[in-house]
Amino acid sequence: MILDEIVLHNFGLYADRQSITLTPPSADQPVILFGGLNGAGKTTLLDAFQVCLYGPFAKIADRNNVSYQDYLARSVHRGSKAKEAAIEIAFRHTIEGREDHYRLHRSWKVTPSGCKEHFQVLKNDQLDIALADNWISQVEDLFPPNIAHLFLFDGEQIEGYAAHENSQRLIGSAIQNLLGLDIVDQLEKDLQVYERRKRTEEKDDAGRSEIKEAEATVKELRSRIESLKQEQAALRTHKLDRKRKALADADNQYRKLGGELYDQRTEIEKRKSEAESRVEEGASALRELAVNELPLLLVRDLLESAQTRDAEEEEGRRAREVASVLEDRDKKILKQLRSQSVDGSAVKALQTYLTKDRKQRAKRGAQETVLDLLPEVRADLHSLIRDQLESQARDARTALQRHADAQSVAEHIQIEHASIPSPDAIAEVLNIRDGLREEIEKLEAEFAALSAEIERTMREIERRQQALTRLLEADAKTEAGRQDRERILRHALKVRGTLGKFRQAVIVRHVKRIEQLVLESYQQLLRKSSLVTRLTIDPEKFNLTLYGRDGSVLTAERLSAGERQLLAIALLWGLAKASGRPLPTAIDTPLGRLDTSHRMHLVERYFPYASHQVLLFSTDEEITGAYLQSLKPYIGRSYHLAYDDASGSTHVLPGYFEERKAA
Amino acid sequence: MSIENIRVSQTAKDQLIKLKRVTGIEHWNVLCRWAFCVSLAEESIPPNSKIPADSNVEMSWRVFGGRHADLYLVLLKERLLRDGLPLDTETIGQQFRLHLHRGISYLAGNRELRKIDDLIALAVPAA
Repeated sequence: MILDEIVLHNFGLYADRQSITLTPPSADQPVILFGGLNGAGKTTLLDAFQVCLYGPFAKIADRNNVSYQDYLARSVHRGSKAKEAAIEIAFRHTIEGREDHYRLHRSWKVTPSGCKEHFQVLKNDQLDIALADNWISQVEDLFPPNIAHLFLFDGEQIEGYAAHENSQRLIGSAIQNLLGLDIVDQLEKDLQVYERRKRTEEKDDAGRSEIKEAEATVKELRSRIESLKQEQAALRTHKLDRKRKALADADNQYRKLGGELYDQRTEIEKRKSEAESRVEEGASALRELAVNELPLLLVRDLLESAQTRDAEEEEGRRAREVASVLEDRDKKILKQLRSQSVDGSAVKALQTYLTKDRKQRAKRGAQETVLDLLPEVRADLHSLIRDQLESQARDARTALQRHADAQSVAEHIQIEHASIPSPDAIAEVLNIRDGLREEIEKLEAEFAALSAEIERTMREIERRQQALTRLLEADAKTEAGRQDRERILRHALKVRGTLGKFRQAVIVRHVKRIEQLVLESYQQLLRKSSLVTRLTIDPEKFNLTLYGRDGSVLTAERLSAGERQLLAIALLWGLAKASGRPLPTAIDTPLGRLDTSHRMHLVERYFPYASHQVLLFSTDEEITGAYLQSLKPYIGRSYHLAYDDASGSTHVLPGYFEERKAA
Repeated sequence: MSIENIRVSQTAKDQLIKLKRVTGIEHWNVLCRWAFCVSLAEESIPPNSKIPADSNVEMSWRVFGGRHADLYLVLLKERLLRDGLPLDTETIGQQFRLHLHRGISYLAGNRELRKIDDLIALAVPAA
């Protein structure tokens, strides 16, 4: 990269717009010299580069706890009315044989709400918005910020690096950055973060513990069922069965004593009274029958003979009635025959016959009427004999049978009733039996309760088992995730190991080269080139060890302060070379802390060769006189940073201190 | 020729009381009917004896005979005819009295007669 121009607009002490050309006129004149008294704005100019290049990421010397916004606001030149400032840098960068022109423009305006910043990039005169938006990553290709300190530094930093620990740190971080190991480190860090996150996920994965809990619960429930079942079985064998047997014995005893009859006593009594009333009904029926015609059955033959006699008496009565009629008639017939002059003998015969007949009839009619039955009595008699007596007899037999049956039934029931034991006799057994029944009831209830609980617990187990199955199913799903995680963690660990090894190997390989470069640079800077013959850098601790002519270690005490500072510069130079980036070098008050003997070393052996473009910012007491003379052939441009007290501003004027004096 | 009033003897009354108890029949006349028929069924003629009418148990023929009162007279007459006894008022009355008291005595003295069934059974002996 070659810086062509820097333009400051109201930045720091620099009022208005001031443009500084930086292009070296030729390859042999790489030094661009700036002269300025203390406080004239040398450091500000150096800072301007960083601000423009890196914006909020710029490492500015005095910007410690100040926010970027505040820094920008403060950097606006006090005298400016518009309250706005800008920095512009133009440079060229060659990549793959192609040279690109870049022009960066960073401006800002102070508003009541803060600083409004505007940044734009022109690449080859074309506004490149993408480039501007991604500038922070783009600038890595041009001027990586993490090795900027190897190219842009000041005298104080040199002094600082001369101390052992600081040099260690310098080397360590430079190696990191040069070798791009910061990326390796970042990767390692990211992996650790990732690992941590994955581990946290693991902890959050409650699945496992839930499953264990569920399994434990199921197991517990199962054992609970076992114990319940055992309890139930014991209850049955030891208590229930025994009591039941005792009850059976008591029942037997009860039965033997006639307990069953006692239980049925009300029924038996009822049946007894029923039977008794039926017997009584039967007896009443018989008594009713006794009132009617039954006794007449005893004299049936008398009734029949009376009936016969009555018939005879009836016949006689009829015969008597007929006899008188016949007598009249016979007289009339005979008279009629005699008058008709019928044969006297015939008439006489007829008379004899008729008289005989009448006499026979009269004999029959002589029957005496003794009974002399009235017609209704006759009818009654007939009716009795014909059917009444029979039907009465039938009714009587039926009633007798019924009564006899009723009586036998009553007898049986009476026997039963008599066998009913008295309450006293069975009271004791009854008590025992009832007591046992109660106990059995209680035991059975206990048994049932246990059964119910077993049932409940079984259902619970089923429920839990189902839940467990669901958990296991879900777990199987997360298992995949878990396995992934495990795999990732395993691999991450491996990768980190590999990265570590990689870093080691890379460092070891490149440290050799860096050692070489730093030694070359140091030997170039030192007049006593044989002071240091060898230089090693520990690949792990990054401490630098020097070896003297005799191969022995050169400790820090053996070097003078100046030699130590030169070593610091050699380090920076060597590391810059090791970076392989052809970047310009800018040094602020380079000779300030160095003693006289070593200043010449730098002027003669370093400044002209540090880079293809070397910006030096010197006070009037540093690069002067002999130093200036020695450097002159290599100075491409020189400027004077003139501070005007009256205006409180600095102007960049061409020409160094002496030339101005001369003018 | 009919009987107007019947008055039994004291002895007969006591017997009737026992029969009442045994059979449960509440009315004198019903028992008297049974007694009369029992005696009529007996072939032998009741021996002549003086039966005093010294109880307070008396009834009319109607009461005695009930629905078949006329028939009971017929039976008595028939029995007398069979026995060859004259049918004059005195004989009728006396014979009736004899038969009645004999019947009562038979029933009361019958050791087999312990309940109403046994009385009924007299009329309908088991087949």
